[in-house]
Amino acid sequence: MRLQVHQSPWLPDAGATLEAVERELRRSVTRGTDFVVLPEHVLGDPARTPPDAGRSRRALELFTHLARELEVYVATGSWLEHHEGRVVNVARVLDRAGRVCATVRQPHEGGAPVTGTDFPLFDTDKGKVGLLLGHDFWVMESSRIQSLRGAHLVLVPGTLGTRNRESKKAAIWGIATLNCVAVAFASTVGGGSTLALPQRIVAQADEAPGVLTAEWADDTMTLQREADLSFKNTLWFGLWARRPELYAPLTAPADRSTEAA
Amino acid sequence: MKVGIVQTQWRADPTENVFFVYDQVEEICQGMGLDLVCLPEFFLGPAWYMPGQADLKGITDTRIPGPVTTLFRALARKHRVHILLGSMVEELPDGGYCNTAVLLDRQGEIVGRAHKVHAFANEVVVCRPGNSVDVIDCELGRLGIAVCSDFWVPETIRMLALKGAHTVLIPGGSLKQNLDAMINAFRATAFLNCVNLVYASPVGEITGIRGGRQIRVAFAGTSLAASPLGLLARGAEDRSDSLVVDLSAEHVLSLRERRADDDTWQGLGLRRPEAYGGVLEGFVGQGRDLVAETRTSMSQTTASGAR
Repeated sequence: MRLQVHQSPWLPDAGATLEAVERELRRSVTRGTDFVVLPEHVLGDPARTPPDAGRSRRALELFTHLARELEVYVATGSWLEHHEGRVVNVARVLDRAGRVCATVRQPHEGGAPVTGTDFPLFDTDKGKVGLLLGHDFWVMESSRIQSLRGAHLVLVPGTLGTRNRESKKAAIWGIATLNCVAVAFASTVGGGSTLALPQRIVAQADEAPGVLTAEWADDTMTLQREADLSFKNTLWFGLWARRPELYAPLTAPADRSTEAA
Repeated sequence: MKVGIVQTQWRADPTENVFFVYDQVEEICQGMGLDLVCLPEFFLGPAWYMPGQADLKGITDTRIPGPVTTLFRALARKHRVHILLGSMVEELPDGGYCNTAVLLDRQGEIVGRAHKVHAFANEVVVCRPGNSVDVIDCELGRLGIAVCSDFWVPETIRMLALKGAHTVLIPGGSLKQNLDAMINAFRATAFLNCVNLVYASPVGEITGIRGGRQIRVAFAGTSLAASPLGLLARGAEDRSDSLVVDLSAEHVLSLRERRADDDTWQGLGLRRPEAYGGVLEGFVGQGRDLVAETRTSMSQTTASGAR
């Protein structure tokens, strides 16, 4: 399968940014590309790009058209929208026919989570794929649950940000390793967009805008995840050796994480 | 908290291992003012249940308490230091076995022990797994112990961090083919769980038969220490080694507090436990009985003891 991650820049206004994203998609997405991932807040700095129904519609129509035209799955990145009376950050994946096959909505400025869109998984002609948005990726349980449920690939419209950049770059690969899953992480602020397999980083960007492309055999993750009792490959172990009957504390509301030692 | 990591190297004569390790602990304690010394998994030598090592039964395993703990209890008292007796193949009174780590305090008392929860390779047949993941409250604060392959099931370190461990001690054995991914996953785990990690691994090699084929397994040292902010120390791949690091419980706990100038807290602080029922499910791709396959493989194995 062939994947692309777009580390697109923010231009002075959202319209210009969308045009630039379109130009880059038309320039770089070639026939045979299977997945394209755009970053969180793809249309601009959320502090200066409030929800705009018309702009959201235009962006979605454009990405839908491109998904059909280029016959590619598109993780649209995210932008702000109004949803049930509040502002949410929305990411979607469009299939090769331009249909929405996964959606994540997060409250933009805290508050109760938006129910019904946690850790979505969807079937593609390249296997089961997960979608995670923004900071959900840094909370380990999100990608873990998707991997346990069969995701071979997790698409992340994300933000590396300016803090802990090196730790986060390591964590993108680490999450791929620990969950035996491929990760396609697109970022604008802070750069660091990454395509990672469990055993290696396939491509990683610095801070400059650009496009990462990578390709691996369709059965790569299936083979990685199969238990190998010769132990030449051991990265499957973390999925197979689990003892879920012991993990109830992970679902318990009590939080002792900040208690004093 | 000043921590010494003793990276051991298996001797040709496994009966010598314990004495060499004893000397390494003596050496690292000289004038260092250590609070804790960590030893690797299998610091007594290869486990008898590894391919080709059947002749080590009764040599590299031990009762707990037993002669090995007695030896190191005296050393802990002498140097007023905590010692993590990495892990040992523990022979149980009923003839069973566990892969067990023991924590001694400065008085040489056993203040914690952990049994490997997620059995690896032949252990799924031979060893009785631990059935809990617990934090140890001691003079050094809340510590966790994850025995080797427990690290590779990320729920383990996650639960220890959530239970308040500021530092998790990992006696393990580095497999040569995984080193780069292992080192990065170690660093990532420290960051994502906002926890200090200490990893001690031996250097050594075994050969034997697995699945009807001659195999060689290389344990490649590479002991490690990390704080949530990055890697602090890394041991050699091919020889015994000693590392000393300063780890701060207070720093970890301050990083876990919500703050504007750092976002390390997010990995724990943005959790939504009510949405995590999925971690209680099994892996959907798990379609084979690995215990049965391993049992069959072990029954077909003939011992060949080269080291």
